[in-house]
Amino acid sequence: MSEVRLQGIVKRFGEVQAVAGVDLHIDSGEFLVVLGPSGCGKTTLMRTIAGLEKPEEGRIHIGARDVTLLPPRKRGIAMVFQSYALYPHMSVAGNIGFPLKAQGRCPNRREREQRVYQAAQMVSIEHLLDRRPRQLSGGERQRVAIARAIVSQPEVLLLDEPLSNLDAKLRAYARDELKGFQRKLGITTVFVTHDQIEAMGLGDRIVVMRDGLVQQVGAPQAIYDRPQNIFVATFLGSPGMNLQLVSDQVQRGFRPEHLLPVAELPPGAAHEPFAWRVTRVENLGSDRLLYGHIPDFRGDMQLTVARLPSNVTTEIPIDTDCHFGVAREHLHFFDNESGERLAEAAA
Amino acid sequence: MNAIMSRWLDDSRVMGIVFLAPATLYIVLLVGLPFITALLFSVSTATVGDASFNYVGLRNFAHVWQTPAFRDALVNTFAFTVVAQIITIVLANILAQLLTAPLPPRRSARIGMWIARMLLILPWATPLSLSVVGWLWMFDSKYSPIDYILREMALLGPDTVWGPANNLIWLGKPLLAKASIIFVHVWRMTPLATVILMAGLSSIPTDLLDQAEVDGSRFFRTLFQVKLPLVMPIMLISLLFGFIFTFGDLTVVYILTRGGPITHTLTLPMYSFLVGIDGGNLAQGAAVSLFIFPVLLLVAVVLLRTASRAEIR
Repeated sequence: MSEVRLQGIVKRFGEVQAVAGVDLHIDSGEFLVVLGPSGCGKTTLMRTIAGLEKPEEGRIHIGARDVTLLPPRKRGIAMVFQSYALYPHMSVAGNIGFPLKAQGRCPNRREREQRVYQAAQMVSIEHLLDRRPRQLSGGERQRVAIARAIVSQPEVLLLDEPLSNLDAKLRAYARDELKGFQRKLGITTVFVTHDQIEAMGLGDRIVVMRDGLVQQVGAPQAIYDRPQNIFVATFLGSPGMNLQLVSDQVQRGFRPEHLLPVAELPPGAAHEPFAWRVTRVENLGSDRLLYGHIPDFRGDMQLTVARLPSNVTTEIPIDTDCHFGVAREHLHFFDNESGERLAEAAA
Repeated sequence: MNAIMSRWLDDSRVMGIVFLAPATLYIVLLVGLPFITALLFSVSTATVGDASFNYVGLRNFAHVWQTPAFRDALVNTFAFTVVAQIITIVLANILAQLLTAPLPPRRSARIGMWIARMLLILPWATPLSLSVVGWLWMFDSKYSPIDYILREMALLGPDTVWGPANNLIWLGKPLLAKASIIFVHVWRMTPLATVILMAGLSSIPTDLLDQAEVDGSRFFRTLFQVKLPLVMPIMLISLLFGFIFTFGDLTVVYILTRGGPITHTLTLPMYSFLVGIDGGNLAQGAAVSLFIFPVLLLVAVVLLRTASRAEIR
């Protein structure tokens, strides 16, 4: 277990700047999630930590060591790829044991077999050791990849969207397992994903990236509650935050779950009233999504979504003016030009 | 009329026959018939002057087997093929590694790689008879450029390591002649084997190679434990090609040495040609060439089965 420090990391591919200057401090034993849309540089950032890419600028420290120029095998890291990258011609045991052999850290065969078994046990696949990867299900393959990653007891575990090849049901289960398992080992973990649910559910902290730059770092709830800019506000949450231009300089934002019928607002709380027409209702079982339009300060209509939990049973008539509101404390204000969050006082 | 036509065009049985017919005809006329003719000749007394059929059983085979020249040809054919294939596959692996290596992101690097790949394929693209004539000149007893270069490097000529003669006489000495034949086969087969291996290597997912790197594997471990096992099926296919081409090849030996000196570079196809066509004894020539058939069949079956077993996914 070691902390990881990134200072001013820049990685270019020809003209393209995939990572455009990232500073990041990952605490020892922390589960850090790097979240962003595809092409935001999150995978490149992880590959740079792994040593598969050499940054043009910046330094990387793992623990007390500067590893910037070291090859992957000298960094004390392990990585799980999105495809799991299992060696198809080796058995499960061969796959898990490969890093031990390659790193020459465990020359004794008996000891190696024992460590392979222990790693397999950790992810409950000890009964599959003789199988070939092609004989395994997606979930089992993922476990093999994780066992192979932890067998050499790395200081840092890098996970590149390891859950995205699993079906939805298995994913929730795998998430829970992964988190429990990381806590047990206390291993410093960097997890890359574009899935905000994974990010919110797994991360001790989340790093939101866009265009090679860090947009915001913080605990999941903190980022959700106080997004630093319009990108983070709309990227996190499903659906994302509603935005409304209130002047030439300022956009006002509120989350769909905070736009409620006036009767449902907490009594006594100051609120901002919204009169709107709901044009469509989506029933999702646990929630209802209401779609409609709210005018901005110029009178242009902007698509707005409200999310009502199913215990709010108020009837919502379609194409009729309804009175909704958002509690004042749930309003966010952003600079229209830069997209940055405005200090509460300015609002 | 049109209705019948369009029904035929939609009928996969009719169209299947139509599409298969040219290939079938080709195989029957140019492979099947000669093969059957050879089978018939080999159990007869046919000569160029008298092609009438007199059945003599396996006498031709027995006679051929006892000929010393045939034994030489048999041994040479196997030796040339096996040695050439081993060298080819090693060279092809090295070349394929080089030619699939990641390039620096420069235009000149891409152009350079393109030229290198072009040059590589040339020996394969040149008609064999022409390129072997080229090699005949290279190995010329008096004007060989190879000898010239060796002389200039002071390795050949009076008072040198390989002297005192001014020429090595490549095709006139048993060992050098054998080496020359093998060399030309290697030169000829390496491009194809390289291209096949390049296809195999570039089909290995990059994730897998990155994973090997992260796992701590270095160059040779990645080569022997990850890359080679994964390209094994396709490598066996390339071996099969090489084996069949080399084993059954007449051109190289015919142009370079005609089997000489004496029988030191004689191969089965060459001997078959000498006996059957030059010597006019069709029956025995056919018998010689038919010794090739079971060998190639066996090699093909063994390699194809190994390849399909080694196939992964």
